[in-house]
Parts: sequence; C-alpha cells; structure tokens
Amino acid sequence: MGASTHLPILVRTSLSEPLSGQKALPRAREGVPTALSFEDVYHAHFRFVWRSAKRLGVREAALDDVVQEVFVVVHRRLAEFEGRSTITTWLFGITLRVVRDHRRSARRRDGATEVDPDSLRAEGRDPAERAEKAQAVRQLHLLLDELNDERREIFVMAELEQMIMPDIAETLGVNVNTAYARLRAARQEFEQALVRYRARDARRFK
Amino acid sequence: MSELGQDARALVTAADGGDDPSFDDEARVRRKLHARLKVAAAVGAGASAAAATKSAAALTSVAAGLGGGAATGGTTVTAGVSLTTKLLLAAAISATAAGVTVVAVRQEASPASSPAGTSGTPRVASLRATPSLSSASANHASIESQAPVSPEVSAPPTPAARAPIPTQSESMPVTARADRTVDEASTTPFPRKATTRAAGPDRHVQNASISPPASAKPATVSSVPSQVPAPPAGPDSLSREAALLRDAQLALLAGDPTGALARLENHAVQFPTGALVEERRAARVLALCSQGRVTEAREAAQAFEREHPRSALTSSVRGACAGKR
Repeated sequence: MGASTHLPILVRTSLSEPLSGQKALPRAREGVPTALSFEDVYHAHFRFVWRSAKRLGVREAALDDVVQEVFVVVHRRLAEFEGRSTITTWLFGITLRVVRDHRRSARRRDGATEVDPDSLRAEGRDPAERAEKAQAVRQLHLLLDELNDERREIFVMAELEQMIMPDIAETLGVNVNTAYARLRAARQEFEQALVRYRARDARRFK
Repeated sequence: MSELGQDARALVTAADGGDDPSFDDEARVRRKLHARLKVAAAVGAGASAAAATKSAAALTSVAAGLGGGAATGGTTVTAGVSLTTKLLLAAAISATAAGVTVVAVRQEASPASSPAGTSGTPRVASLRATPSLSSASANHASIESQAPVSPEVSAPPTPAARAPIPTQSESMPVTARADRTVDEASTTPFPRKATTRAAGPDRHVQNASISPPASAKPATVSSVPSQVPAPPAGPDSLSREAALLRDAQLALLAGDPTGALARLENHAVQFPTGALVEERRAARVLALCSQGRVTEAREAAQAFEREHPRSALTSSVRGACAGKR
C-alpha cells in the first residue's frame, strides 16, 4: 500500500495536478527561503493554517487534529510544491481540502455545532481591547456560520486572507468569473447576516 | 464589482488577529505533530501499521480511563495518536491535580508475530500511580489494563484491575517511542523521509485496527532503531513544562507580568533546554513589555529573533512593545 492511497481523494487529485497559470513570484513575497524545509513552512505558516481552518468553520475541539492533518499532508507533499503558486495559496488549498473532508465526517457525526466560546479568546495587552476584539471575532464567526460552505470559503479567502482572485479561482477549481459571482453573493449574504445580527442585538439591549 | 460594505469591512478589520493561535496552541500542535510523524517513522521502520495503531488505541483508552473516563468518544480514529498525546497530558495533569503522581506511563506492545496476533494480542499498558496524602482513589494502585483495541472502551482505573505487571521480553518499543516523542518534542527535526513511506496514522491506516492490511507483517525487533525503555520515574516533564508556561500566560493575561516572569524564570531553571524554550522566550518578551521594562524587552526580542529567526512567534515578539516608550 503506497502512501498516496491513504490520502483523501480530493487532496490526491488536486496535488497531483500542477498548479497552473501563475508565475513564480511567491517565495520572495512570503519571505521563505528557496529551499523550503518543513520546519520553515511550519514556523512561518502555522498561524495562517490555524486561523484559516477556524474561519472555514472547524470547531475548537477538532482544530488541533485538523491543523495537524494539514501539516501531515504538507510534510508528505512539500517536495511537490514547485513555487508556481504562492506557498500560502498552496497551503490554503490543502487546508481547504482537509477541512472539507473533516466537515463531511463531522456533520455525519454530530450535525451542526455551536461556536465554542473557548475558541474566541483574543490576545492583547489591555483587557478592554481584548474584550472588544474577542467580541468582534465572535461576531465574525457567527456571521461566517450563516454562509454556506461555498460562500464561506470564498469569503474567507478574499475578504479575510486577501488572496487574489486568480489564486482563489484556482484553489477552488472554478473559473475566475464564477469565483467573482460567488464572492459577490457571499458578500451580500454576509452583509445581510450582519444587518440581521445587529437588529437582533439592538432588540436584546433595548 | 461591489466591495464589501463599510460595516462589514469594519467588523472584519476589528476581528483581525483575534483568532490567531496562542503560544500554547502552536506548541501543542507541534508536539502532536512530532509525535505523529515519529510514530509514522517507526511504522516505516518495520513495525506494522496495525500494531502502532492498536497500541495507540490502547494507550488512548488507558489514558482515558485514568482521566476519569473523559474519553470524548468522538475521537475519530484518525486522531488516535494525537489524541493519545492529548489525553496523556490531560490525564497526567488531572491526576496531578488529584494528588496522584503519575510515575510512569509505559506501554508494551508485543510484536504481531502471527496474523492472528495482529488482531488478537491485547496491548498491555501498565500505569503506576503513587498516591499522595490527598489522594482518595488511588491506593498504591498498580493499574493494569488489558487495553482493548477500541478506544471507546476505557480501562477502569480501579484497584480491582490489579494484575501482575507484564514482562514481555520481546516487547516492541514502538509505543515507548510514542512516549518518548512527547519528551523530545520540538527539539527533534521532523523525520522527513520516513514519513513519505508511512502514510502512517492517517485514517485509512487506522482502520487497520479493524482489519489488518496486507502490510501488517511481523515486525522484527532488530528493525527498530533504538530500543529505549520507558522514561524514568517522574512526572512527565513536558506536561510540567506546558503547565508552567500556561500558568505564566494566564498570569500575563490576568495583568500580572511579575507573576508571569516568575513562572517563566521557574521554567528556565527547571528546563533550560526544554521543548518549549522558544515559547518561554517569546512570553518573556511580552511579560517584560507589559511590566514596562521596555529596554530589556527590546533586547530580549532581538535576542529572540537572532536565536529563532524563523519562529512563528516573531511577529508577536516584535510588536510586543509597540507604542511603549
């Protein structure tokens, strides 16, 4: 049994296909040395992977395992990373697939889950500032929860991670026009959710 | 195309950075990953995947039992190894809290010497707890459990389960290795090559505990590189490290940088070359800033960047004293 047979199909196919269409600009941009070691990638991008998995809807209880899974795949596949896309795009692609895989099994197991308040700590020096940030994060995650998976994904990539559209389209395996349309819908839905949230909030505090 | 509205944009900005991982998160996942990649390496080194899987499951169930049945059964099998580490830590910590000192967690797995053995031989884990004054439950218990393969069944930590400690002369160190990795944590480089072969503890292999895959062939002791016995008696150093750092961080969050620094100092004395040195140094910078010792903090930050040039904590460290004069 070869190693690759154990990979989820999505990961396998996506990673065996060369990433196309992009020029090699990435490494300098990410400040990652040319010879990428696993440690380098882990150190430089742990936060990114963690945060992305969380924003894609992985609950705190499962976050460690999902992030770990991502890096296990990275570890296995790093040699195949050719620098044709940015390392973050590549990592996000892996994260996305692991998260999707996790989502499927998590839904089967326990259906929808609540936002875990423990996941919403925030760092900062001043308690007030911290509380404010934590509140913003909580709100953001609640709103993200209202988007369907497709829209959530593109929203996270475009609005939270500021990825560029061609990278997004490629990661999602759709053409750029489709991606734009999807993003537009995601933004709209997010904003509507925000309006609803504020309205509920206002009623509560009246 | 329309941009994101102002309110939504403001929210996104406000939340920015608020969902980043903490030091603890990074350190914890790194440890687990190390453990997992190591186990994978051990599997690649000749131990059968099934044996590793099952011993992980067995260890998990023991840890779960010790932890008071906190076996969050939702443990996907994938999580076998990582969960093991997690539960071990949790168990060690909760046991310590209850006044029980976990002297050693040791596990011996016999090699899968026959096809039947692969699925039939129970992995035996022995776990000794010495009671302290406050300990009500453990009574010089040598908790002995014939750990079943399934993680759902937890080994009851009752003295009734007492049985002679197994002496399996041909026991295979795969799981001892799993223990060890916890100790070695971040100081060891990831065994890169090994894991390419060892698709290792991912879920498909994990399923092997139910039906051993073709690759589950007898493992020879000689094929396992270093046969290291279980760690010497004493509380798991890594969990103590983690506990100290966690305390320091809590103190820092509670606005008590002095207390935080004291704990960090404590860590520095106890674990000068511990697995979490990097985290300690980063936390120290933050604590110094928050105490107002800006110059010292800056020096410490520079030293940190020199010594850990690729640390993911660099940006936190660098920005620690921002806005302070």
